[in-house]
Amino acid sequence: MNASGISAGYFGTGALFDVNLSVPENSIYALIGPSGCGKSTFLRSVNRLNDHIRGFRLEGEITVGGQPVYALRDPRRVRELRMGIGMIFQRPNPLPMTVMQNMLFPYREHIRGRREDAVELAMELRLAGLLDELGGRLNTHAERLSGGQQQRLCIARALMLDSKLLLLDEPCSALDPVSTYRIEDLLLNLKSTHTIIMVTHNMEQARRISDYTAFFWNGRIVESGESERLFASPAEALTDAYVRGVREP
Amino acid sequence: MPKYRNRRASSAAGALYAWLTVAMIAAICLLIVVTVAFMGKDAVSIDFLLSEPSASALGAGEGGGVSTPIVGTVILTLIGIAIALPVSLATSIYMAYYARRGVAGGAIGLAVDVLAGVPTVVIALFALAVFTNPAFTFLSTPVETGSGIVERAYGRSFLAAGAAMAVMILPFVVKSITEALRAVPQEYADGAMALGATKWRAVFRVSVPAARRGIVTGAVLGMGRIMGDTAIVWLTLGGTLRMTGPQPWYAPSNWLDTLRNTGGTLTSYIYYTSPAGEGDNPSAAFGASLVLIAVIILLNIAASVLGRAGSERGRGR
Ligand SMILES: Nc1ncnc2c1ncn2[C@@H]1O[C@H](COP(=O)(O)OP(=O)(O)OP(=O)(O)O)[C@@H](O)[C@H]1O
Ligand SMILES: [Mg+2]
Repeated sequence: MNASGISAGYFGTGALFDVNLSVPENSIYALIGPSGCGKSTFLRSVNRLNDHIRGFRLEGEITVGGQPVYALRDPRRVRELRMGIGMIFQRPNPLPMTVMQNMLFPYREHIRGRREDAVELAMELRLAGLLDELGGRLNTHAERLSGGQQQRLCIARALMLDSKLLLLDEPCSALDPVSTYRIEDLLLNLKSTHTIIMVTHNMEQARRISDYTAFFWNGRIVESGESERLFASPAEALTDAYVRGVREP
Repeated sequence: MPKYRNRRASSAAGALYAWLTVAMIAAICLLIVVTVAFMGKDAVSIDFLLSEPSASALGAGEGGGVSTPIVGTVILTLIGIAIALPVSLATSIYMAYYARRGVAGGAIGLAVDVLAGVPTVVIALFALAVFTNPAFTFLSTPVETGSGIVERAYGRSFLAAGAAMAVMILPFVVKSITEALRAVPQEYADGAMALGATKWRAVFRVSVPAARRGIVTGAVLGMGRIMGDTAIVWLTLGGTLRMTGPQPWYAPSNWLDTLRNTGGTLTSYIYYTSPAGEGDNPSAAFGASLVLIAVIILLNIAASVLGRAGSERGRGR
């Protein structure tokens, strides 16, 4: 994923200003920064989910797997793009149906391949470890799962379409520490096959699992680079203050 | 700490006020139901429920039973909701998902609000003016001049009244369904779209089912209004107690004609048998009222069961 010169906003109010970000394949890239600095706006621009938001506009170029995302005109191509990108939201969003129906939803939408194959793939994913926990009760209604289980279901569901890129918007902020560790483990496992971009408000988490980190501030990237370096010796005073959790310098 | 005590006193007063209000509303509600039940209990019998009304309610003890008025109320309600629900659903989906703050959304919203304020008797009058047009003869029956030329349509029938009812309830059903759709978390639709669904599929397959309980509530609200309406019945269903189509009205070969002709409902039966109508049979009127209230309560119970069946899987717990 590569973004260059991204400026975006809603109804003329800017939300992102000249953002440049290059995410290497098979790595975890953390996006950090205070509330309202444009992290979600950026993330949702990658799979063009902002297209549906009234008043949204964007300049600049984003490429995924070398393909310029905003060059796509045909809505069908845009949907294909979205299928190739998994997205996880802050609030787990299982659809109001059973666990299995949730898993099969992407397939049902696109009717590629046979249902049996889809079921097999769903079982193969072991529903991100959920299967064992549920004791195989795949007909449980998804909204009866705990928050952590729901979030893992959402990740497993995103993996049903063979996406190479995962976008996660504060995936753990509604979860307890144990569920959080489980999801972190899952993400670390997925790194070998996926590129992961994750928004997080949890500095520890970013430090723990990410390879790279970008620090957003008022719609701009103040500093980005390898996480180890960025957290240990920030180049910018602003970054230093933010990661150490002190007030603005 | 006087401040603290003050706050306690005022909150106690607030609780008392709230409690009194609730008690008063409950008392009024109870009073109406008990009065109706008390006044109507002697009239209601199996025979009352199963026999047709007499041709006239003139004179004490006249009126007959409420079998066809019950059927009339049910028919009218079904026609009205069958027309109003699909239209309302489409309008609500448009308002909630496609025209959030746009000019079109505002115009529709305004139209809905205005329509909600139009008295039902005015809607009835308008419907009568429209449906007596010869072009709408298929909804009712032709009125011929001496020489056999169709001059105009009669304009009064179950179909015509049902269409007028649909217009009457439209704004209320639209509002309630729109609210229900707006209460569905945006994450549902976003999530489905992120999985590659089109916006239309996301709305239709995910958001609408999630709002199912609210949609049922909206439909029930509309059906209740149809059951209780009198003005539209009076003007567009014709002032009759009995089914006026070919007899027997319930024979399948006569169904369409029954719908194109007029008949009575529980509300028109109540009017006729009451001292205000042509008869003086308050006990029959109260009996029919009791039946009407029972039907509406049954409808609400059915709806809450239906809604719960939806949310059983929906909301968990
Ligand atoms: N749908 C929208 N319409 C108008 N403005 C929006 C919309 N979504 C976000 N914004 C604005 O864009 C700016 C960036 O918001 P964004 O959601 O990207 O921030 P964020 O970094 O994700 O914050 P948080 O950490 O709280 O999630 C904010 O000023 C916000 O008010
Ligand atoms: Mg955000």
